[in-house]
Amino acid sequence: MKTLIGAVTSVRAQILVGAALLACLVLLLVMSNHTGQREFRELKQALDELETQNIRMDGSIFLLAFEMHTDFDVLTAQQKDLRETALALASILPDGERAILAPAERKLLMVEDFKSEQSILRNSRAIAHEMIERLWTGPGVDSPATRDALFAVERAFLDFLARRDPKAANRLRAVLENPAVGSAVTDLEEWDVLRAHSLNLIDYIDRLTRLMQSPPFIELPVAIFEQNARLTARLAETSAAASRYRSALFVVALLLLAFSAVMVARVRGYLQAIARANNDLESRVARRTQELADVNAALRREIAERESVESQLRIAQKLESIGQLAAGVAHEINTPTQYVSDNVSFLSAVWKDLTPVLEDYERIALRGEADPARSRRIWSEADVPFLSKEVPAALRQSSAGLQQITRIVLAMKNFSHPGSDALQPADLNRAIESTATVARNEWKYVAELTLDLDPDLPLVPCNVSAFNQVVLNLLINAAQAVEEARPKGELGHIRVATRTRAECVEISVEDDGPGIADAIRDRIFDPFFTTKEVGKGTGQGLAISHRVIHGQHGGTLSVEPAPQGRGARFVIRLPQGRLEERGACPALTAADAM
Amino acid sequence: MLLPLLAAALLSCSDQHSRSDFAAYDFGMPEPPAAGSITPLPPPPPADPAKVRLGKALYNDTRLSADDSISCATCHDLGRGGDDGRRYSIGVGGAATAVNAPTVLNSSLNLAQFWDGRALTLEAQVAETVQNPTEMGGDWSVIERRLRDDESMVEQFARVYGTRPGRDEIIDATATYLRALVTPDSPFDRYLRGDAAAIGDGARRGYETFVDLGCISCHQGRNVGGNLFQRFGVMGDYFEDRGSLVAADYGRFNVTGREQDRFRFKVPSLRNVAATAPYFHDGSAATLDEAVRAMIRYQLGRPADDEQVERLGDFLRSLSGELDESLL
Ligand code: HEC
Ligand code: HEC
Repeated sequence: MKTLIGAVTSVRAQILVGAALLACLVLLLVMSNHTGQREFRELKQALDELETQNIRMDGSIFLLAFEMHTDFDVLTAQQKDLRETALALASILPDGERAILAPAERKLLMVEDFKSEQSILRNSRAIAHEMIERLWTGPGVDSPATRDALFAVERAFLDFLARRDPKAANRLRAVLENPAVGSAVTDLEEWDVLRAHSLNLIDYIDRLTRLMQSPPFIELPVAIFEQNARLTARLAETSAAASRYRSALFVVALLLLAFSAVMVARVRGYLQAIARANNDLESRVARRTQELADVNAALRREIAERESVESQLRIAQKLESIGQLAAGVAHEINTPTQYVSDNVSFLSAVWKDLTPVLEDYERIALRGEADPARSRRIWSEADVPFLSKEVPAALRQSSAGLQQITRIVLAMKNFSHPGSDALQPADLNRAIESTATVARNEWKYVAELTLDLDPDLPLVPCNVSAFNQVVLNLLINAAQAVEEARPKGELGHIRVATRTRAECVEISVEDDGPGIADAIRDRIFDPFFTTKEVGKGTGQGLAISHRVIHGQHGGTLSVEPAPQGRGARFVIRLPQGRLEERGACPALTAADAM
Repeated sequence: MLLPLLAAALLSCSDQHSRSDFAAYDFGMPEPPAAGSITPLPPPPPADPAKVRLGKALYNDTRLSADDSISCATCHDLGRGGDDGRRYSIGVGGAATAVNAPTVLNSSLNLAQFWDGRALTLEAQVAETVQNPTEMGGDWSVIERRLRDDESMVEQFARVYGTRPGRDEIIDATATYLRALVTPDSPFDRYLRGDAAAIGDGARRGYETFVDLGCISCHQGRNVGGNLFQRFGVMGDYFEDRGSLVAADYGRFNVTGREQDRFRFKVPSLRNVAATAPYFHDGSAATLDEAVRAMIRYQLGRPADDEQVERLGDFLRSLSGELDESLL
């Protein structure tokens, strides 16, 4: 020690030692500040990636299940990507093997099962159908008993495909196993194939349904969510640890400074005064820095907590809206299916009723065996006037029903279009129409929806699936607002309009609900702000919409005074043209909007 | 008003009753999509040519086997479709493999390697095969020593990896070579890209049959298979009919232990299938014709006539592509 102090007696050496010490301190400070955070960001990115990949994979499963995608390559590539991300996470996340990799593997196995079941199901359905076709053109169909049997089989088969429920399955099984039906059918090979595939189909549909409801399906998103929450908690801990570490560094720094001050004091009298002043200043600076660091750590903790809650809510909201929509669409498809199915039953009965008439006609027209009395009896028994009125109506209604189903499926396809995050020129009118169709169940019982779409609306750069979510959100909000306000038994009004403006396009969603009180107007885009009862919504919808429109699209989302002075009016403005060169697109002031 | 309609209906079905009753189902119904689709093969991924060349040398190098007797090419001969034409392959010391050797061509595009998919990557596949006692029975330290005694090998490894020959580099180079073994430009791929004359009438109708019968719901995508696992014997008990069950017949069950995976196998790619007889994991079908008939019986459980089988053969033969000559 003596020699060391002896060695640093020159002023230059002392200054050098001081500078080196300071540099070390700064370096240590910076490092203790950043290492934890970088690791955190990496983990969080990987988790977010996994979440996105999982959602994309679910999207593919959905498209395959509805037969909108026809091969497994995309899904298989997504499985590979997801496994890679999960493996990477398992290696950097403490406990990642159990917490992330295991649920991911279970999900991947489930997806494998899905592919196996889905491909067999398609075949059995197609082959059974083909056998029915063949039986109808086989030699035996001349006999009424055979025709009756085939009617019964085909009706039960189509009915089962439309309903896919255990009751319809039991009816189909009963028909297939009915010995009277079996003995009426003459083409034995086709009959056996039809039976085998129909029974197979009942089994597979049941298995597939159970598979899609099995726990591994949602176990993974839940695991991701839990990890996210844990990660956030850990960040708070590490930043607390880092600040403790920093305090220790300061103590050391002070000691070193004191040491050097003492040393300097011993060597040079005039340096003593300067050293003391210096020492004083340094300790003041250090105290001040310490205070700042404490405030900083507290802030970071708070932000981390907020982010954790926010991401929980984002997932909750996503699941909530997917669930709601799925239920709605199922209902929308079910209703027309039901009446098409009923109409078909009716039409089969009609055919039975008409058969005597046709046979009578055959006797008259082709064999010349006229018997007016018989014809009159048959004619009135069949009640032809009634049928000639009802049959076209039934056909019209069925046709409309099927078109309705087609439309919904197409809308679903447009809506769920798995896009990238990039902005691409998009037809917003079409997006709005699809969203309105998909969300029909949300509004049709409470409001009349008017779409007032500008036919000359230009394409604008847009991430359609995010935009759809925003419009969906506004529509659901409007429907809930209208529901609160409307008198019993009356429908409210929702109007969605698009307009072309100078620099941008404008999409407005208006309702005649209670409107938005001035007092809360400024807060409705805050995360967590909600006026709904607990359980009705997470209060994240508008905040997320706001972020999508402002952050992702560089547009604006604002509330404006409603035109009739009643209800709420939300306006989205999206800039036209390319991202780099687009102009500002400011929200109009209240006066402009009038 | 109804009478003319009735008359028309009657005339059209006076001798054969059709199902005008169910015609309502045709109203406004969208065409159902085809149950699957086949897409052309993508080009092989870009790779360092020196590494591919090294991989090719290793692929043909008998020093990778225990007794310096066989190489990958012994069982996967690229001159004969990437397999050896035997029911079971013969490994070091004359041991027979438990299953038929599949082709290595395009295998990088499969969702996993081996019939039961137990290797998720080609790297894992190579690592296992080299050590497997019924295949090459190699010992990595012996292999490394042999290659390090060979000046030209040492030089090549130094150029590509900057290291001496080692286990990881051997595996990496071989896997890189395997990834280059893609066979684009089969007649059917050219047909898919718009060259209508690339395949004959038989193959074209064979493709329709492939779709209509339902083959395509399992054999589809860019590799015409290889992207899912499927039970062998969906509509009939193949193993009962064949008899003498062995462990390898349990397929994917041996990997996952799940009951639903018993008898499930990776659906093989049908690319270059004309060149890879015999067929199936047990090599039980000696000809393509036999294999197709077995598929119709056990996977589809439906009637099909001889002409359809023949046309399917025409289609399957149009799936044979070309390997870049430098890879042979
Ligand atoms: C003794 C014969 C033999 C030798 C030598 C051999 N293999 Fe194989 N290979 C097989 C058999 C048999 C299988 C099927 C094994 C299974 O599925 O369980 C196979 C499977 C494979 C597969 C999986 C293909 C697919 O689509 O699933 C690849 C790739 C492969 N071998 C590459 C290689 C390479 C590379 C080498 C040299 C390092 C090699 N093989 C050496 C017999 C052999
Ligand atoms: C239900 C799914 C499924 C259907 C449908 C199906 N296959 Fe296969 N195919 C498989 C499986 C699984 C294997 C492998 C069986 C084994 O070896 O264990 C296979 C194997 C084959 C093979 C042998 C390939 C080889 O390299 O060994 C050919 C050829 C083949 N299928 C052709 C067809 C044809 C043609 C059709 C339509 C008539 C068809 N498949 C329908 C699942 C299917």
